[in-house]
Amino acid sequence: MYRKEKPITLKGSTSALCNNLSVFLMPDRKQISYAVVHRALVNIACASTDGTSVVGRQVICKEPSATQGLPFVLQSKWVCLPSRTVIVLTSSRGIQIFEPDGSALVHWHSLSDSSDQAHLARGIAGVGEQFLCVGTEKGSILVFNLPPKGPNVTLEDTLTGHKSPVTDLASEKDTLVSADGLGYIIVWKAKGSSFTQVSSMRGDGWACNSLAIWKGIVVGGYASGHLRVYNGNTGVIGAEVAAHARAINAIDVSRESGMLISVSDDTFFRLWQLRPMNVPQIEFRHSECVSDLQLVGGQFVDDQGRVLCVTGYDSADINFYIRA
Amino acid sequence: MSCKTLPLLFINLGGEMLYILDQRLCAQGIPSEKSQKGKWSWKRIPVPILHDIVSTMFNRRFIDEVFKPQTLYSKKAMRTVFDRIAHTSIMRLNAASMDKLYDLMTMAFKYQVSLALRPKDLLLITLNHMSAIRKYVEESNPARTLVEYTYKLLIDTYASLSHGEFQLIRQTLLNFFQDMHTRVSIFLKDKVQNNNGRFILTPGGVLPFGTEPPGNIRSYDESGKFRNIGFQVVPSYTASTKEGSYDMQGDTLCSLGKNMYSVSRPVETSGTSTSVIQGSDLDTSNPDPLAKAHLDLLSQLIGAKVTKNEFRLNLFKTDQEEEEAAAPIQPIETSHSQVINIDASKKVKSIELTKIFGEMTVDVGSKGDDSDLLDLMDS
Repeated sequence: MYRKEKPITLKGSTSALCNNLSVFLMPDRKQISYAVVHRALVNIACASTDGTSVVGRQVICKEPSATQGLPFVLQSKWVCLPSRTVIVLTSSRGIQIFEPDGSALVHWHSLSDSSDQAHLARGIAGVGEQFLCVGTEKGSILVFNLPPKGPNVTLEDTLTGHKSPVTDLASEKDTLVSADGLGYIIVWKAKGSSFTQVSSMRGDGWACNSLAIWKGIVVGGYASGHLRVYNGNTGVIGAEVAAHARAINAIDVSRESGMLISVSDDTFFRLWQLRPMNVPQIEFRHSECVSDLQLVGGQFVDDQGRVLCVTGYDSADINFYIRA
Repeated sequence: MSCKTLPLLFINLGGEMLYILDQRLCAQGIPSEKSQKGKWSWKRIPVPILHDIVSTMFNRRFIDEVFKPQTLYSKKAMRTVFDRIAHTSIMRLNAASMDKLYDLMTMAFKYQVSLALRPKDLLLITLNHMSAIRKYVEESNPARTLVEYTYKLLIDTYASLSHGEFQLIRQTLLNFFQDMHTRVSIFLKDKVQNNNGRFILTPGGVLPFGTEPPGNIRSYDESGKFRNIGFQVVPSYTASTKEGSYDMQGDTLCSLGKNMYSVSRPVETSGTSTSVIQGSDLDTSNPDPLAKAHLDLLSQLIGAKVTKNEFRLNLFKTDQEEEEAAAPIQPIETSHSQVINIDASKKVKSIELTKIFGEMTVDVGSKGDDSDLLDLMDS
């Protein structure tokens, strides 16, 4: 059902982090960019849509104080807002916002200067017209106002609600979903410049490593190997799937078809179909093993969910699969 | 990344080092006790050497420093720490043997971290190492006390951590071991490692404790009732029914972290193996000042201890093999001088370290002044 394609080999191997793959499609320029974290830097590969030419570049997490080695990057992700696209890097010391090609640093938000306490940030999402949201270790979510141009990024709001470190964020228009290290999920809605809680889902102690939202359906991928499907407006559970034998490290949903991918430490990626109903449902579609690779990143390349790519710990390859 | 990773990395690497040394010491024997050829007792020979090493590794003040929240050392600094620790006894390792020892230690622990069923198993792996270490020093009261003190610290620090915190620790460890692909013959023989240095991850088998086998969708309706819809999962998994014990004498129910060497399964790296470090290793260019401070401390602990009855341990089958392996390698002193460039005049930087320093010199009965320690470090 899915055919393996030629991989793209990056300049460095993939670090063991959740959601360690971000894809940015530029239809007008017929280019697709891929970002994967390698220790203290991010490897970016820009490929033409037909895959014939690949250009690699690296974005190094810039460190204002040179006294303490380079901080590990925890996540990198492109955020596409209606008026602006940026690539965001989070590390144990702060949040860095770059122009989408990684060339220029737009903004640097410091979280900590002490070496004995990490204030790591994880979870990146763009909400509404101009909000960039980033989760922190303290469980709060920082809301930045990202102007259409220039470096005047301002911290607009800090959302509190999580009692353990934020693990991932996902968004759809004005809706923001956040998850934490104990598996709790909160759904927020932006109205004007303020956010309000819409619903919340209890966790069972296992971290919710990755989130996806599609047509109001919220899906969480958990460290216990479970997928849970919720109605985002009501918080009511639609389905609980024993999906993987190890932690799920990343999930992604295709915007047009509602196809969902989950990748796990158990070397498998699995594909699912979401069914938007009052109580949302999920169906199993496909399963594939990537030999000896603990998968840490998985994304659809196109909006229909026909092409997907996965990354695994310690490997420099982005593996591609195409629906036959 | 997690600031609680260093103790686990340090103890588990140390545990692997002791397994290897124990096995090699048994195999090679110590010159002074070789009189009764072929008659030495396998167990007793390594004992004094292992005692010395365990006592240094678990020195109370050093362990207290290790347990303070901090970022991990760079690979180079970590390697230096173990180089120093290995040389606290009368045993001497040349550069090639030390390289081999460190490669074996790191690959063994990388294997354990990679294969751990769930992140919390890292504590069980550590406890396996701890109970083995405790057995090595059973007859030595002071060393055993130090090991038990460390055990208590481990439980205090880690037993209550959540899955999420352990997951971050596991990721931090995996990223420390990233791009290390040395082939280890014991792994190749057991078919758990590929020829390219990667571990074989066979699907199926036992599941992490507290999870359910994949293959079921619990589908809810509006009233909250559910029905089960199965889907096919090719390898079959079995759920684990019991959780490992954190008790010092208890059963961890975890085989990772136990001694994999024995007389019939000797320590060996693959003959032609080289560790492949690909990509840029940025962290080595910027030594962490904290790691340096700890190296200072450790060097002070160790540097003062000079013994004359040294003997050489060989991690290879024959001396010739060792020499051949050593030939292309940079002399160990040169590679180190970049990391441990200890300036004794700046020692006062940390009041605490100075205090510890004072304490330690009394402990080991050294009357040497700072410059002597410095000489020892660079020798």
